Amino acid sequence: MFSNLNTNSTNALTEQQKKIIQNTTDKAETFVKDYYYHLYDTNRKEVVKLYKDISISIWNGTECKGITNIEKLLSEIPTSNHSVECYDCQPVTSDDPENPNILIVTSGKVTYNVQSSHSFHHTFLLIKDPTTQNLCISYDCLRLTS
Amino acid sequence: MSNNRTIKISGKKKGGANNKSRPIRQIHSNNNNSNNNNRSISRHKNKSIGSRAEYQKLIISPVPSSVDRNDLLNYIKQKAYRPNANFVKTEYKDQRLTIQVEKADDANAIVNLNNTRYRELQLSIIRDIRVTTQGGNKKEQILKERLTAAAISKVFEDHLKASYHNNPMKDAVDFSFINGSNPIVDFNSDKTDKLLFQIISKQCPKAVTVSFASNSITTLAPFKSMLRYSLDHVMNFNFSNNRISDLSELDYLSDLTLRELVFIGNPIALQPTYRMEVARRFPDLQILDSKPIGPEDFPPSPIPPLRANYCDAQERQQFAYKFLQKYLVAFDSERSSIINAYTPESRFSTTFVTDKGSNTRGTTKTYQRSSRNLKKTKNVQKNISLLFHGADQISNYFKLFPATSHHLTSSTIDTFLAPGSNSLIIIVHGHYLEKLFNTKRSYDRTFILAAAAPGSEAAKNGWEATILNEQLHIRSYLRFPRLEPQPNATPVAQAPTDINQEALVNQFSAATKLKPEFARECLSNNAWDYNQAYEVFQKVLTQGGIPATMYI
Repeated sequence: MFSNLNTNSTNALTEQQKKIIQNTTDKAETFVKDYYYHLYDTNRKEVVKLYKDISISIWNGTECKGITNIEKLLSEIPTSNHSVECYDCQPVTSDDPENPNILIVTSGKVTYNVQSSHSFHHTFLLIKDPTTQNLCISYDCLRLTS
Repeated sequence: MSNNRTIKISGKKKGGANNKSRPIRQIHSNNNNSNNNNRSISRHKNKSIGSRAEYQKLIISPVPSSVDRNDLLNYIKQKAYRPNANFVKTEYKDQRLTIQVEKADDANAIVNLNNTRYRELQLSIIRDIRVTTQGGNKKEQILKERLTAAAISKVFEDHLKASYHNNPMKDAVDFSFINGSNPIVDFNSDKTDKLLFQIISKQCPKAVTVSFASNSITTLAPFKSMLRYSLDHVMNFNFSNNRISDLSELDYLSDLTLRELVFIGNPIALQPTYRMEVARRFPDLQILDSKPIGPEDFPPSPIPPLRANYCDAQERQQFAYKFLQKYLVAFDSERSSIINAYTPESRFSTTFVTDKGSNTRGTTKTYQRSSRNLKKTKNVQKNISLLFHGADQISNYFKLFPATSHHLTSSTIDTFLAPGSNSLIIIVHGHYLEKLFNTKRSYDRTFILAAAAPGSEAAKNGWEATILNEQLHIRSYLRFPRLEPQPNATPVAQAPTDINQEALVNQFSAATKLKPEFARECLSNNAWDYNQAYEVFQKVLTQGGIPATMYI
């Protein structure tokens, strides 16, 4: 039953749609592996460059709107070490059908200040920055889950 | 207490307490005699009739007493699954779990699991080829066990009768000092505690506080199984004046809902890190040993405070809460109806992770098969097929999803509008109960919603929003960390507005056929948690406690 369901679904998609999903997956992989957590753990100051002034970042229930507030929060969080154990992504319909926004959900373990260990769950939406055409974070929402 | 144990035997033999003990002893001794005489005959019987008459007996070892045997058994049933396999009996003794199955093929399937890993254990599974003691003896053994169980139950039942006149409405139940005067009731034994939980579940459906004080308890292991007895209403536990000496014993309580704990008079309470260890393990615990858990019970944290439910606007939080309420009630009780909350463009995917050593019950495979963890699978086709498109596909997927029961009131919900758009983001962190095995799972569920277009299928079916994207992350149950309230302290949108209440009352009344005023009362008694109210209703119903006048 389950395999039938899968075959049907794959067949129902056009090549174009499959390409978009693959493209989204590649971008998500780069973001998760090479950018966000890498910068967060090794070069925190660079992280803020992934945000725009309209961006919103929610850290365990605390809201940070815009570059200045996000920068301030980032500076308050002690040195970290993230280990992403699981991530997933989905295309989110945008104005440009060729380039959907990207929903990314990650989870794993994080250690702050070497000794304080937690599990985390993190949701992002990546959108295309209209001026630079690069991807940037529209919003992200982090929760420590242990 | 070793005194107690000898008293237990001699007391029984003398039969001073009640007459029941005498037959036990007689049966036992008769049995020994006849056993000797019959042994050769039995052996012949066994050989000639062979496996046809005897069940297949299998020995699993090592099984330390800390292992949840029900879970292990379920694991084996799942791993060695065969249609109509009949597990006749299980027995636990000396770190060995003996199971009996009816058919030789089922036994083969289980023996094939020899050397399989279960949590940290490597299990040896072998056939028990010893000549078993025969029929009469076995029956006597069963009878003996039944009599012991009956005697233990009677102690508890008599106690409830004497102390509470069997009043089913009592909210606090005291089982302290039972072991001292009734040595047969050993609170460290699984069997005793299971009988006790059954009785609490049946006779104390309203109990919030239960005391097990002064019962020579050394281990909390048997209390782990409380979850299986639908005792979620019990939130305050008194274990004072027992003999719990190891802080790791606390881990056995980790699946329970807790508000208050008392361990005064136990060796653990004297350990210097005691309060901190308890506070860390049970983030939802409010009071320990009659003293509220406070900031001093936590080590200083290097990170900013973790805050409760976030929302960028109060009305959006109300909207989100109302949506989730409708969605999760439908998901739990009438899952096919959620199809209308999705559109042909909706996208859904799910991920699943298990912690090492966590339980591997039957549903794990369902989650694993559909887990789209991009870190693990690089198979492009699989990743494409596990991103479900459109209401039909998503709804088909949920048909395979286990039956669940969500508790929205204990969830953490972040709600906000996506910058520069009209889509509403809701991220829920909570847990649900799998109804089949009473397994708790934690989940993190992200929704991207759009307002339902007037006249759309969604709107016609009462959905104010449709789901554009949804990601469901499932993991082993873990308590959520302790949260501080939002600084501007808007009350958490946990009590629905009047309009929502009205809708819930109608829904509840339709489902239960209760008159609206009683439906309202039942809901409000259960903090407007629909599922909880329904469970309570079912419980009262099975006890025959609802007069006809309360029905429509």
